[in-house]
Amino acid sequence: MNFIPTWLRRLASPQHFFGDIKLWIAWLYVLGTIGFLVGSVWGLAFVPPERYQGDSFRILFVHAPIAHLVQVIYISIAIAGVVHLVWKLKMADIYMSAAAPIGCWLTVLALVSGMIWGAPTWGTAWVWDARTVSTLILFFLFFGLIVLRRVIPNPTRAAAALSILAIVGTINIFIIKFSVVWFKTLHQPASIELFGDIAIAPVFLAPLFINIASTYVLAAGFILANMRYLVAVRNVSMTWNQEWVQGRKQ
Amino acid sequence: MSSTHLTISDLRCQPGSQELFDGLSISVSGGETIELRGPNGCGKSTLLRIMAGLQQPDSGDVTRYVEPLGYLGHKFGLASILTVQENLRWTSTLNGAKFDTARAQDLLETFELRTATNKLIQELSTGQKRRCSFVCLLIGEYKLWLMDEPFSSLDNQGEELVRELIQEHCGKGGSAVIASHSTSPLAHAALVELGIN
Amino acid sequence: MRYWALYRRELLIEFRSGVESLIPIIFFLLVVGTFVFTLRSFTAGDNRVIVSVIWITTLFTSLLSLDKLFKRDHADGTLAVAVLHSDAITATVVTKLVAHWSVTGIPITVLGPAVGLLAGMHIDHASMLGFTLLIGTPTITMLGALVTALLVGLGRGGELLTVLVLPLYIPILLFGISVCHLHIDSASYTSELFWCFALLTGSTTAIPLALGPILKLSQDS
Repeated sequence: MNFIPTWLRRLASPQHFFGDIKLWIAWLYVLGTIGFLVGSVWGLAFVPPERYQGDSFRILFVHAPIAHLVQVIYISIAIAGVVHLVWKLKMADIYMSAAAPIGCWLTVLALVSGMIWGAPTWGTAWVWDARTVSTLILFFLFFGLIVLRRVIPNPTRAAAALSILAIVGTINIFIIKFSVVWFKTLHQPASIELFGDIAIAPVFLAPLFINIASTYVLAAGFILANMRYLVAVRNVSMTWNQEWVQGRKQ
Repeated sequence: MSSTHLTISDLRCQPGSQELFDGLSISVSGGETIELRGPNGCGKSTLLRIMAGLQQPDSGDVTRYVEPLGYLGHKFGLASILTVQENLRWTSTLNGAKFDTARAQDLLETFELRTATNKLIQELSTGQKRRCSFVCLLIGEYKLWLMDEPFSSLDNQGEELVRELIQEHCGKGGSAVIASHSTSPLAHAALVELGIN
Repeated sequence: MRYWALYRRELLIEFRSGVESLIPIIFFLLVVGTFVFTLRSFTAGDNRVIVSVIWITTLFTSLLSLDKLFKRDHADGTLAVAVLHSDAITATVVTKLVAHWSVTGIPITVLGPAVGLLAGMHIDHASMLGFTLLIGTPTITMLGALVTALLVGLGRGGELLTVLVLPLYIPILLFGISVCHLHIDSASYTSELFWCFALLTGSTTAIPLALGPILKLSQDS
């Protein structure tokens, strides 16, 4: 595995991860917050109103990045699951445990912001189409991961169980998402398909992409901070950990 | 001519905050009897489960040269709503062997379970269940026996019988690892003392 | 030969449990009956409601019965013995799943359309319902067994299983119901049916192989 740079390999050890990652988290928080503020203010105040939806579409700049992000987080958990099952990497296990609660909260945000958007534009807060259904299922899958982690006391077994559930869940989400065209009869068609026939105007793209990038950066910060916490908790008895605690007390 | 049945090298196990073993290495060869001794909570059962593969150590290697292993834990490994005979049959099915009725009857005779052949396991007493699990162990033709407190709930005569069986098994090239609280050690057994760190 | 012997053992255990092994089926009839009775003004003109009710009740019935799929074997230690025979573990798992399907899936496949007929479904629609249940119930057993195996020995009840398994049942539920609804609407249902077959094939090939290692890991508590 020589192609992996040294700084990255260092992060696989809990002690170095705990020390090195602190600065990363700070930078991610700063960059993400600035980006998110810029993108949101731009989107909310400086972009012209949309032709059909007026001003209510502006929640897009918050909703779309999060709704996109939660899927990426879930898939990344499944990838970490594969990594854990194949290479038994401890960090992959910590990543799964750290990312699941954050993904769960973000899914709630995505659903709520979607409902707030849906209420004025569709006339209803909830529509049973593939996108909403898959996000709702995603919420249950995230919840399942968190619960599974909590009910299995043995960490080795919990990590394997989480990996398997995440992998099966990802297959599940893909089937639901890509079967959109198949279950036409089950859902009433959405009144407005933003990304369908009405192409998104270039003027909206810049703030949208800024916000997508910022939510990625912020979420990475949250997850890394949560991982740092878990690394500390799981290595409570280690000397480096106790030395750090001693250092803080003085 | 003795062959290695199982090796453990540099085993470390730390369930929870308490460290059980650190750098434990054991090798079990054919003909050997190993008796694990130590106070409650020193990890005898855990070590047997790790040897069997029912539990994962934190680090270290376990290599099994003979499979499957005969494991006798705190649970009897007998389906309670099947009869003694049906349970024995199941053991030989798992091993892919043909069920030898005559041999099964002989073994049941030795363990004084002849009359219980067609009784359901749940109708037997605890001692009888224990005896029945020994018959399963013998029917299974395992090379390596891992036994957790094999003498519990057996009467004196039963304990004597099991001691003889273990000796006979190891005399024929088999091997056994036994966790025991019994006051008198097994004949020819190598003792491994586990302590609490 | 080994498969047959193991299968007979599983069926024998079900048989010896007697009336207890009938509980899931009675539950199924009870729930479907209650629904059809209370919804009779809706179901009178529209068979689609009955199809959905029967499919969803099938999921709940499977949850009820899966809870004890490995429980007894874990409690008496036979699961540990089975897991240690690593060359026989797939045979053990497969026969267990087939036996489970024989005592829940097959009766539901038969009873589902029968109840549908009693509730006023057309014979064509009822047989299509039976056909989708025939494809769907093994898939349900497989997915359910996978999650049940993750929870062996934790001493947790069915509510945890419900939360973990139901999201995974959504695809087969959607496609199964879709096929029936499209059939009732006289529309083309080929692609949905292929999806059902794909889920059946995928789950029945992958999951039995994965279950052995998962059960072995589940011994670690």
